[in-house]
Formats: sequence, C-alpha cells, structure tokens
Amino acid sequence: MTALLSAEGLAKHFAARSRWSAFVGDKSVVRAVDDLSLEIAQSETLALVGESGCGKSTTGRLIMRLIEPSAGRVVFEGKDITAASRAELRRARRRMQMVFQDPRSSLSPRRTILQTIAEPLDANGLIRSPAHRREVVAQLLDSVGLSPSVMGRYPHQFSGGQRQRVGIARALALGPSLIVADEPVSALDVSVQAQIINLMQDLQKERRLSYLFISHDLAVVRHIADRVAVMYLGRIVEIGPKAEVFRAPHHPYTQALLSAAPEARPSRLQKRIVLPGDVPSPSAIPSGCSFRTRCPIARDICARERPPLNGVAPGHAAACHFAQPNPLGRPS
Amino acid sequence: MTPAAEAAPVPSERGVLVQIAISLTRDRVSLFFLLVLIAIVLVAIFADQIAPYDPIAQSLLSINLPPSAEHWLGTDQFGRDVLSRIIYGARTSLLLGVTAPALAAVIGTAFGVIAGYFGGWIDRIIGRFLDIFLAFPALLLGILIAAALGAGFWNMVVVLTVAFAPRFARIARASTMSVRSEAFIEAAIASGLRTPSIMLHHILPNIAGSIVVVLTLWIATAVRLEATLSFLGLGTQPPKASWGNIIRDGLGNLFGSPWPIVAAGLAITLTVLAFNMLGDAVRDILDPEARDE
Amino acid sequence: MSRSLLRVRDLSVEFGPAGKAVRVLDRIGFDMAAGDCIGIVGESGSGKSVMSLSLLRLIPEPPGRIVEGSVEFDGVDLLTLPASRMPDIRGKEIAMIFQEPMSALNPVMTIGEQIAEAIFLHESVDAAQRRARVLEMLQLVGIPDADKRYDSYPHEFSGGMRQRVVIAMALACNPKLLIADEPTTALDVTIQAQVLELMKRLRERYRTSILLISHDLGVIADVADRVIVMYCGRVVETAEIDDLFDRPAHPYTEGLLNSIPSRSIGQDRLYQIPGAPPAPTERGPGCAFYPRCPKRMPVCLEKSPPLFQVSETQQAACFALPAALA
Repeated sequence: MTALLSAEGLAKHFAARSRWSAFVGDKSVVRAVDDLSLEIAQSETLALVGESGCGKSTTGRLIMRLIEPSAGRVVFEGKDITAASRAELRRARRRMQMVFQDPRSSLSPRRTILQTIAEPLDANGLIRSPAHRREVVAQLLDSVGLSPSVMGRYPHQFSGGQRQRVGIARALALGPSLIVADEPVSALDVSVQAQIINLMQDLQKERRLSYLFISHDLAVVRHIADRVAVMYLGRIVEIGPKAEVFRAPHHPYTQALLSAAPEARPSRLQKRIVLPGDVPSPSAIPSGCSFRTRCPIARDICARERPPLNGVAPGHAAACHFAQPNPLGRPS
Repeated sequence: MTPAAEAAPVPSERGVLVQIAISLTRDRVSLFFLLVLIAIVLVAIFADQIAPYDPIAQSLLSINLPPSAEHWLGTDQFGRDVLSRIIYGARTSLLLGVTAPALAAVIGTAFGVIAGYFGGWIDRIIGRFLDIFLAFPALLLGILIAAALGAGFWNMVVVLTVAFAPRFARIARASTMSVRSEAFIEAAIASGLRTPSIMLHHILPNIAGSIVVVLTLWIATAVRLEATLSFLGLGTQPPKASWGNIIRDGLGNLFGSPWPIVAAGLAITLTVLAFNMLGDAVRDILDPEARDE
Repeated sequence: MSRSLLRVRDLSVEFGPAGKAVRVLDRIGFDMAAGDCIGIVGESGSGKSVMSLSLLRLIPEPPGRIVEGSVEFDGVDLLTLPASRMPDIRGKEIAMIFQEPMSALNPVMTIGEQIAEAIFLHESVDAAQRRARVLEMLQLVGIPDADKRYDSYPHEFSGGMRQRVVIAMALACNPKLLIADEPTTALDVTIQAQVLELMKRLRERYRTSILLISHDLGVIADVADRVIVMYCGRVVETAEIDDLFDRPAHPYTEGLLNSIPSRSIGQDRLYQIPGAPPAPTERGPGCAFYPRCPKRMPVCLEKSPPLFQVSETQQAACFALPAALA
C-alpha cells in the first residue's frame, strides 16, 4: 500500500552570513535539516521527537512546504508537492493542515472564532452563504467539544486548552487526511493536555486522520504515536514502531532521552543516563556521527564515518555503528 | 462528543459603532473631547449658517474693535469679524488636518505593509526611499515643497501628505513585521489564503490600532503645521481664513488687540488636544482585549 | 534534624484595589525542617509562583498585598521584619532561582562578576578570595575551564549552562534555603536531567534545604521528599513522596496523577479531569474543586474544607475523606 506521505532526502540549509562575509568570506551553513526521509501511512500517527534545535519543527514546515526545502522532495497523495505550482500546492494544502504550538499566537486576536475556523473554507471558495458558514463552523466546534454559541467570541476570552480546540477545528475544516501537529499540547497544563490528546485520538478514529506529531515530550508521544522517529541535529537517528523504540531503543541518544525523561513514579526510580556536555550548534555539526561528542560509546570510526540509518528489525532503523538493543547498557 | 464547560462571559454582538459610542461615554474625559470635536466639526460644516458675518468682508470703520455684542470676538485690522473668521478657519484647518493625514495614512501604510510583509530587496528599496524622506523634519519638508509648488490649499495637501506618509510607512512596516511572525499568519497561508487577503484580513486589522493612534496624533500635528505654514505665509492665502493666518494678521497689533490671536490660539489648542485624547480612546476600542476590561 | 527551618501559617495574598481585590493565595500553611526537600506542585492559576515570591516579600505592592499570615524563618517572622532588613536575608539566608536563566543574568556583566557580586553583597572577603570562591562554585556546578569562563558573558553559554551559573550565584553564600521556581522548565530534557542531578548533588554536599516549585510531577518525583499540592490558591494535599504517588488522598491529586501520560501506558484513553479551573474572580466560599470533583457533596459548596489528617505524614483538604467523614 502506498504511503499517504513520503519525504525523501529533505534538507534545509541556512547560509548564516555575517555582515562582513563579503570581505572575510565567512560562510557558515546552518544545517537545520539534513537528508531526512520518512513515510506516513493512512490513519497513522508518526511522532517526531527531539530536543530544541533538532529540526523537528522545521521538518514539519518542510513537509507542508511552508518553508522551501534546500533539497529533497515530498510526495503527498501521489503528487510531488515540492515541484508543484502555487495553484497545485493550494489544492494539495486542502488535504494537509497544521496545528500550532502556541494557542496564544495561532489565532488572530482581531478575528472571531467563526472567522478563524471558516478561514480555510473562505480561502478556497467553499462557502455558499453566511448561513452556510455558521452551519459548518457549528459542526466543527461541536466535533472538538466546544459549544457552537461561542463562535462570536474572540480568542482572548478563551483558555489555552479551548484555543487549541479552536485551532484543531480550523485544521479540520477542509477535511484533510494529514495533520501536522507542532507541539500541540506543550503549552498546556497536564490536565488539559489529557483532554486535547484524547480529542485528537477520537478525531483520528472518526475521520481516518494521519498525524505527524511533533513533540519533545516522550510521555505524550508514547501514548499517542504508532511509530516514533527520533531526531538529533537535523537528522533522524532512530525510527520504528513505538513499542519497540521505547522498550528497546537501538541508538544511544534515544536511550539517553528515554532515561532522562522524569517519570512520575518515584518508587521505580532508575539510575539515569546523564549525557555530558551541550548539544553542538547546528552551524558546527561534528564530523562523522553528529552525536559522537556526547556519546558514551563513541569510538574512532564515529568521527570518520557518518552512520547511515540501518535496519535493525523490520520497520525499525537506527543510525549508529554500534546499534543494538539498549546500547548504553541495561539501567540498574 | 459532549461540549466541555465554557466559563467565558458572553460579549454582546452589537455593531462596532454602538460599541465605540458606549466605550466613549464610559470615560468622562473622552466624552468631553468627543463633544468638543463634534462641535468643531459641526461648526466647520455649517459655517455658512452659523457665521454672523462674511469672513472676508472688510470694514474700515470697524478695525480692531474689542469684543462686543455685535462682534463677539471683536474685529481684526481689516475690520473683519474675528468670530466668523475663526468659524471659517475651522473649515480650512479641519479639511486640511484630516484629508492630508488620511491620505498619508493610506499611502504610507500600503508601502509599509508591503515592505514589512515581503522583506528582502523589496523592503530594502522601500526603506531607502523612506529614509530619504524621514531625514527631513516635517516642517522643513513642508516649506521646501510649498516654496517649489507655491502656496494654496491643494498644495498644502500635497505637502502634508508627503511629509507624513513615510512616518506612517515606518510604523506600518514595524507592526507588520511583528505580526508577520505570528503563528496565525502561517495558519492562514496553510489554509490557502492568498497574500492580498492575508494583508487585508490579518495584517491590517492587527496593525490598525497603532496606525489609528498615529493618525489622530498626526491630524493634530497637521492642524498645527497648517497653522504654522499659513502663519509663515506659505499656506492658506489671505483673504481666505485660516487659524494660522489669523494669528499672522493679528501679530502686528498683539498688545493693542489680542483677541484674534487668543481666539485662534485657543481654537488650535482645543482641536489638537481633542484629537490627541480621542486617539487613545479609539485605539482602545479597536483592540478587542482592551475592550473587555 | 527536625528543627523547624520554615513555618508558614495562613499566608494569604490579594491582588487589585482594596474592595475589588482578588484572593490569589488563601491561608497557605506548611512546615519545613532543615535539610528537607519539598516539592510544590500546581498548574497555572494554582498560585505556586505567587507563594514563592511572597516568602521573600517579592510581591509588588501595588497591585499585590500580603493580607494575612506569617512566614517564620529560623524563628523570625519575615513578614514583620522591617523592609530594610530583607536584602540581608535574600541571597544570604534564602536564595531563589527562576525559570528563565537568561532573564536572571545581566547580559552586560561577565558571569564571574555576577557570582562575585552575590558574595560581595553578603560577605566581607577581599577580591582575591572572592575570585577563588567563584572559581570553586563554577567547578562545583560543573562548568569546565572555570578560570577562562569567569570572563565570559551570559550569551556565550547555552541554557543549561546559564542555569548552572544561576545556581552557582544562588549557592555562593551557602544559604539555608534554596527556592527553585520551575528551574528546569525551559530546558531540554537531557539538560534538565543534568541540572536535577546537580541540584541533588549540591544538596547532599551542602545540606541546603530546597523548596522546588514545578508543574511537572516527574521533576518533583525525582528530587523531593515531600510534596505539597496547590489548587486555586489553596493547599489541597501534603504528603511524603511515595504516599502521594501511590495513595493520593485528594480527588484533584488523584485526577492529576491519572492524567499524566506516563502513568497510563497501555491505556487507550487518558483520564481527563472534566472542566477547567475557575478563574480567581469566580471562586466561591466552598471548595474550589467542587465543579470538577467526582466525590462532591453538598457541604463542599458551602464551606472550604480544612486540611484533615489522613495519616501521620499526609493531609488533604477534602470533606470526602474517611478522616473527615468520621
């Protein structure tokens, strides 16, 4: 079965030119995303996890072509959208939408909820009349658990969780098959997070949606994802089915990440793997394996050769010369 | 799916104008100045009906008279009724004071939004032009252009528009750039909205507040500028009445007959103050968040 | 070791003009012994940050006001001290670190100078000794090349490093109590792990008492011995860490724990507490959790429940407790 979305060799480089580069010739390149490939199937949730600066948000925007890729291509529902014209892209965008992280800035403060949710429909000329608009928006509000009576209000009258529901309603307006969710619950309190995650899962079942779920929160990802891709400095270092990646990570960074996440179970505190040092700057990515500067098991080969993403099990791949289950040892 | 509990209060969905009226009446100071402005506007509109005398009718028999029952504000050195001249002066000042900044706002905002939205070389080119104009103080620019084009009402409009448009552009550009980076702009693009629609429905409403405040401030400045230029002889030409040239004419006899200057000065001060006060009020009204406080 | 370091009683804070004031903290009380590490957990609107600021009298007045209560630190009520004495306490006896390390550091001073300043303000040692102390602190918090880094500016450091600098500043004068308000929230998970390990190590070495405020129960579970749960400006539960997670007494705590994704591994849906917390202006005389509580009773609407003793070390403010119903 062909994937709903497939990205091949995606890259985004920023030339960080200093003011004097014309004279001094200092051209450092920021490789925000490099050689990234992934696939998302119908009704599947692929989670993209990583810490700040790993390029996961940039990847989400590249997939939607909100940013132009420096290299690579994205094929969505059989069409190459990286090579598409403006008009074709607009058509493709009806089927793929985005939910943003910050509930505060993702809704225009000067527009009512009605106007905001109806916007994708208006933009594509799908509204027949004001009554039709109200009807459609009422249905969408209902499907995200909000009362249709709120459509005349402004965003500042709502809480963060409610605003995020509005954002989801807007994303659903055109009936997309894929939603790129960029840290959709990170700015919310834990009790509200649970509501929104449940909502997203329910919607996925009802509408056969696929999600590219971008997050730094592994606990949330563990709950909602089918497959997980771990990113570090612009590349995917491990990708595989959720249960496997969590139970037996094959890349040392994945294992450290899992170990570092604080568990709300004090009686089962494990000895934590603490990585030394800081994440290198994306403008000065280490040679060979970019993780080697912090990796407890790095050797000479890691500085010379960049490890490719190799399969370690069906559907499960890791980019490490020494990939094996729990490569940093079993925690005591 | 059961609707979640909603705790937000319900706002009324009355029209915007009604809301403006209501907001203004809440604050006594803004209400006062609103009335003052309305009064001035009415005076300007109905000048023909209100003015007791023809403003340019001279009477050599009645020069420099103090205020009396026949001439409430006295007469000037040509025997013209000061009150009538003030009344017609309102028309000139307001017409100029509103038209020029409004025009400047439209032109300036357009350039500013385009520069701020697209960035890159478009921004750089527009920016250079703006820098050139902004290097001149408004008054100096006004004098230069008036000297080149000659005096007169429509030339004044050109002068003031050219003087103010770059300033609007600069503000519009900065506001646009900050709005541009908000997530809802990305959302609009992802929804398929085209660039002109994004500028019209998203950028403009969110920068309107700052533009309007500046607009009212510049109206106040325009009124002052017109008075200054007329005072210098470059603006409204006599015998047409303008608050500025009333002061000019009255200078010669400042101590003997100060009524024209006092009256015109007061008129200018009141108008400028009223527009300043109103600017703040309107800005608050346009901002949905401030509205609910 | 059970000498009381901090006794807070009936601490209440209001914001706004008198007459129309909103009560943001309502009769907060807890005890802390020397060497304790207590976690304060609460979501937005719980008042946890306001509370930490009021311990050091850092609430801006206006619009805020401490209207009631006492904060006894080492036997002295900080709220009745003359304001001029507070700077002697801050930094020396009680130190505080905040969420955003970049805002806590002066961008135009080197980090060495800033840590030295903390020492300079409270202790009379000469410049050479100060520098030596600063280098010692930098090494202690794990900043390599301390000698060179002394002259670096905050923007030359990453977020995690900056937070270490902030911790060094806080501990430079060996305070008895460290208040940490969301110290790792702005940091990446792997860096957070480093900083938490550091705090635990420092606590062991210096026997500093720590008051850790966070919305993240995982962070609290990692570091704290006891936990205080706050909701809508009130303390709703206090317990030892294991008791809290295994046997939560208050329905809010229970709901909160159930909502955490890492505790529902394998479940289809996450538990969600219905509804949302009321705004400070909407809180009535009864229990603030009433509209969302699965165990609510008529009495909960009329009176605000006091803290009932669930066990020797656990208390919860709920009328539905066995201890309360008895």
